[in-house]
Amino acid sequence: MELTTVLKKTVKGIEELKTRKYNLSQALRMVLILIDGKSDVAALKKKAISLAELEDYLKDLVTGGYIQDQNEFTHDAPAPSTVGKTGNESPTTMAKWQIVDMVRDVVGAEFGERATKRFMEIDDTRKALSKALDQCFEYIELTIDSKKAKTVKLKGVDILKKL
Amino acid sequence: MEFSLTLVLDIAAVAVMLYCLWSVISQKKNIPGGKIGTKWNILTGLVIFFSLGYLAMPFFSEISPEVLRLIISAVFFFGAVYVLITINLLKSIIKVLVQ
Repeated sequence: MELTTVLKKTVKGIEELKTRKYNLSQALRMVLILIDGKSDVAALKKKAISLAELEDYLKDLVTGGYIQDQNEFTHDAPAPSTVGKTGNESPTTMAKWQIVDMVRDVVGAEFGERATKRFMEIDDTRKALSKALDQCFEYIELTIDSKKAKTVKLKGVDILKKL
Repeated sequence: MEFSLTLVLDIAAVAVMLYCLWSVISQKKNIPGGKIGTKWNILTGLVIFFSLGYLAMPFFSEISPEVLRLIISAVFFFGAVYVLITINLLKSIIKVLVQ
């Protein structure tokens, strides 16, 4: 995949983010969230610096019909695929994705995207996750809702406890 | 009405406070929820209180000294509360921004 390629979500990709209809793995969901129709592959790599398999995930998403080259006018989405269900991620990485998904569920997709980008930038360590969770809590408490912030914190701590 | 420096300052104070009132109300739609939203509502209430107080300035000469002192003390107190809320809000925002 060329570094200058700009990718955008397809209808199927948007649908997956809203409904989880195609049961995409958390890793692929996170990458899908990052696709904004503006950033090229090089920029995505910078955003997801801790994700070594980014290009593979992007290829999987293209193959699955969730994203496409910005310059393509149409895209025939293939049938629901099994891409991304590798299950070979580390427990910390899995915890990271669980936290991101949980944040999206609690506060909605708009902030969820920002949280995803933030979590993608951090290392896959318990300490980094804990710190990012605290930052998330403070941001949500300040700008969204105190109760939702507490929910995010409690659920996040629960996820981290399992590590 | 006699022209004096006090009158000029009073008029300027009312004008600035009315601008503040317009500003807090017009910005309300851009304010998110959470702590910022809650504190913005409190600040709006305080600005309304100050605006009413400032607009009542021409009638202060008709108020008894005891009531006037009480009003001034209340303005000082709520002024301090306003500053405290603003500082705390700024601290919270700065904390999140630097992260």
